[in-house]
Amino acid sequence: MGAVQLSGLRKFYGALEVIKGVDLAVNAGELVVFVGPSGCGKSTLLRMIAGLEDVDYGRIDIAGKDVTEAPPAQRGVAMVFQNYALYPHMTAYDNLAYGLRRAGLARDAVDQRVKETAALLQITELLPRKPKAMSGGQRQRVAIGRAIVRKPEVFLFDEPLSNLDAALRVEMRSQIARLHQELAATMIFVTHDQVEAMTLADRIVVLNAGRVEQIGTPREVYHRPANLFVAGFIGSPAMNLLPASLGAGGVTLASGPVLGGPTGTGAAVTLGVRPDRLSLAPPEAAHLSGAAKLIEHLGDETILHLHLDDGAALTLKLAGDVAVTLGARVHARIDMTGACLFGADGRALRPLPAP
Amino acid sequence: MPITAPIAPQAAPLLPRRNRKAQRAEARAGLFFALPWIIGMTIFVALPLIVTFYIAQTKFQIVGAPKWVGLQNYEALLRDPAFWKSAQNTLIFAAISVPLKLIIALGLALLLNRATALLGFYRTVFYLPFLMPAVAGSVVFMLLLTPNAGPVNIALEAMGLNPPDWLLDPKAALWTLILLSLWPLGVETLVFLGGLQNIPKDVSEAADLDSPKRWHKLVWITLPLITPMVLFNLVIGIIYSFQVFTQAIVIGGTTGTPAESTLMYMVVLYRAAFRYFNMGLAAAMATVLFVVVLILTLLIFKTARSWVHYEGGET
Amino acid sequence: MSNTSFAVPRHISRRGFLASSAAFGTAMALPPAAFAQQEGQLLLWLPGGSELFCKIHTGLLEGFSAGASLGPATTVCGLGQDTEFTQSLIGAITAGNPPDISMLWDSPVSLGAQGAFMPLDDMMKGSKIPLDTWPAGLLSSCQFKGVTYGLPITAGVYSMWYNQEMFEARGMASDRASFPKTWAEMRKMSKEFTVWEGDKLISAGFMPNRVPETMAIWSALNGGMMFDEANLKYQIDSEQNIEMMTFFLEWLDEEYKGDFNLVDRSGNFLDGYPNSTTGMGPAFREGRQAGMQSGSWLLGDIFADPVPSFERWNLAANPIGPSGSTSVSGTWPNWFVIPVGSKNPQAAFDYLSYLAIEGSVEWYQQIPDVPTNSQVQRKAPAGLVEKRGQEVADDITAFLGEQAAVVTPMWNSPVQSFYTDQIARAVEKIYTKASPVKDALSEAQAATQAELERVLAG
Repeated sequence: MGAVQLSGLRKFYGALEVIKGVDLAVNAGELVVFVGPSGCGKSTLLRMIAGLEDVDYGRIDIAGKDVTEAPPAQRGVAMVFQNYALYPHMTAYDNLAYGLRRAGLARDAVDQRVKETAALLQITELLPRKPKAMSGGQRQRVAIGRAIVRKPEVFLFDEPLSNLDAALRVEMRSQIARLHQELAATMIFVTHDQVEAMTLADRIVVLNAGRVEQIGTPREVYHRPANLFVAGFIGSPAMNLLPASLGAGGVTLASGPVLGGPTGTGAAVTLGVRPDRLSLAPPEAAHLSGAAKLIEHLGDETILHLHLDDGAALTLKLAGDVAVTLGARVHARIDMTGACLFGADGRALRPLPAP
Repeated sequence: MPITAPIAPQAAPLLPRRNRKAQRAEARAGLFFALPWIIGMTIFVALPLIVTFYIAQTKFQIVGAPKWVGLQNYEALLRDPAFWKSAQNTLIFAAISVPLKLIIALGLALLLNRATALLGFYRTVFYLPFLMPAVAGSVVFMLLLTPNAGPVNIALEAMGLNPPDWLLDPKAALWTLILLSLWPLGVETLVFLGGLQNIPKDVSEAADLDSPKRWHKLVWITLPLITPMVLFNLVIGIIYSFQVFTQAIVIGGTTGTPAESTLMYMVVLYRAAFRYFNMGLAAAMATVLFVVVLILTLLIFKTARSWVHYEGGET
Repeated sequence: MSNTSFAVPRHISRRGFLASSAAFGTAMALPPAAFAQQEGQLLLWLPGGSELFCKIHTGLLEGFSAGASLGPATTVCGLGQDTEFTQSLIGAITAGNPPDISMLWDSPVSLGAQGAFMPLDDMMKGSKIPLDTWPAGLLSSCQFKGVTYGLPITAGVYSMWYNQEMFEARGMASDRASFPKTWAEMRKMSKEFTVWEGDKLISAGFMPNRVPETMAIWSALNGGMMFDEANLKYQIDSEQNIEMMTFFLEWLDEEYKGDFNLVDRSGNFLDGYPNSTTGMGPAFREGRQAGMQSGSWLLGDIFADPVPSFERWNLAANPIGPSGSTSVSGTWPNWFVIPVGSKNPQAAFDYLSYLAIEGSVEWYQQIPDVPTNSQVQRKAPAGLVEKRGQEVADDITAFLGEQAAVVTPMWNSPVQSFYTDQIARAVEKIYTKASPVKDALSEAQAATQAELERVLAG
């Protein structure tokens, strides 16, 4: 299994720069997830690694070899596509065997590899079928099989689960995680789904507008977002971002309440608080108040969307089924444990103690 | 085995009464909507076909009434050297021009499929010749191919080659006709192009990831996925090539000069009908052509099951 | 009054046009005026021709209609050429809605024999144009089994055309009387003009005939015939015809390297018009060909582009073959017929009488298709008078009149087109040595005779 090294990658569509200088090292055997909003360049970046998009500037090394100019098939990568991209005129067996045959492997060797792979993915009974006779999940397993069978240095997944229904997605997710462990393979996985990113990744790369915003473990990007973008993007519901300042008494909300923590001389900051760090409080103990605009009862928890008095929005994630009526006046208190502070430039200030 | 019990009268699944009524209404509506086409097909296709079969067994000199002669026209055909000569010419023409046309059209389509920026422009350019009357095109080609003064021969001579007498040499004229028939490639190319563009991008990319060799992808992925278009172009190509007419009559006139080398089946049929007023013979020729093309088409469709993949557009 | 015109250049040879035009008309739709048949109003169809041709006929018909107190007349010019025109006409006749009059550029015999055109004999009796006012050989092109199906109102008359200046440059007499009287003389004289430069023919004298339509003239010049109408027998492989083709073939071998392809690559030595496919100019007008056989329609076109490189040319009688005794001429007539189903047959016939005697004079003056009825007082074509002077023009006009009176029967078969194609095939086989003369002619004879008998079998 090979490492992947991206150095100063840039790409233009005409005058539009879509990848604005990406440096990244993926270690051998690591599962890295690219995550970001649509149009952030995560798929483009993956396709550049695969060789399906040209690199305008920079260089790509896979397993220690410069592959910047190499054709896709000679990079030691295998890719799993969002729409599976199985060869529709071939059986699953032929889909798996195609690349091996073209590489000149002997018939017996091909057969052995295909059958091994099929067994690993539990798709042996699908081998004689053509794609149109399979369900979406089955197709995706075959597509993964087609990637595995070639024993690549790096696996590339381009939103492979987004066409599956929720239950199947969970199942496939765990299967990919299992494969990652069994094969100890280097994998790069693109998704816009945070849960996928958080559950699968060894490390997450958060991309925005062609730039890397943060690279870190799921816990790091969740608890210590490097900037306001990551803070707002990672986590669902999103982190509450409240205007504040650093006063003598510590963090002071623009609406008045002083919350403690780091002190300062009035510098404007943004306070980031996860919705689960907010709780209901009696009016006299509350930091913020507003009207309940939307209540989502999820059974084991309740998401409460408030319309604050100063017009801002606030989201609370409360344990259990909390009875609140729509429009009712709600008072919330902030638990500063794990809260984040961002400077005027949007970058994180020194982190507060983790929970 | 003796039948000991009466068989239940309704073997078909029983539908609720209202449901069956609705089905009948739907069928009626369907028939109603299809009616204009059914009528059109009957009047413009089925009827002329039947009339042709009938006239083929009559003596009919256009003016006056047809007179029943049985199979005389078919017997006359078998004795007519022009029938055999033209059938032979047409078969050779079809056997060479159809595959050649398919290959060139495919090559063009593959090229066009890459030049995405100018695709609209090229598509128009390739379709334009189709809008030009075949006669005008043929005349232009004849001017190009004129011995001595023709640009083609001037160019070939400049390259040190000894160009053939395109239109006068009996050995070359059929090839000239084949060359000429290749010219309006627009439709075949566009059909192939449509097929190529229908191949999902990611399937094509998956093939790029599986093998670095372009011809691998062409042979194992691209071609199989456009086999429906190959089938379409093949069948249409055969039907058209058996009916090659305009270019043939412009080059060879009604006698297929030089030396009957451009005497095509449709030219013989046409001259029988509208030059010799021998409608019976012409109808017999039309019938023979119909049967031959029908058999060929059925044969192709039968083999098609083993080589045409209809899963192309699905994922 | 109206005319609907698809102007077709008549500037190229009529034969070339007919040969290449079969495919042109397929997409041509009939104008609505073509079907506006009404009683008391004449409707005329013309197969094609130049704008001038159309204008002349429109004017003649309008003038006649006005004089005869008929309603407004309609002339439809050019409904596709040759067989396309025939198709349209047959369609109109079978639909019972034909024009009152149609001009044809193909013999009316085939379709007349099938009952498409009205027999004119009864109307001709006691009219201004009775049978005996027509040259018999010419009228036979409209007759089958004694019935007259059309009138050859005017005709292109075939004769020999020669370049007087080329003759004189070699010290030969250039008057009409001194023109070779026999094929042998012509062939002997031809050699004087023929110059080869490698495989390129620089200039030529005369050429062996290879035009299928005129082969009947050459056959008659050799004392033979192609079709014996009286006995309904083709004679394509007769002694005279074998002798004729053998003579031509030997001539080709001796003087033209045995290969018409070499001749055709060197220029258009076939007729007096630019070749419609190769674009090569006519060798005769370029001063590279001493003489050729041509129809009289060239009188109207010879001064147009390409302008001849010389001023003085003349016409002479066709020379006779080894077995022949008298010179004959041939024609390509402009036939007129009254289709069965005409709404105004008598008025149509009256117009044809007028056209035959008075109208054709004006026609000939503008476009020199020679009027054929013996009563016509011909006036020389205006263009010819202007270029060559009254004397020469009158002389040529008189000569063409004489020639029109000695035409040999041609166009008189009910299987005319079949015969023409068979002759074309045989001639090609002979000249390319694909088949001996006798075999080629015998094959054509057998096929044509069989087709004739099939058609006549009723």
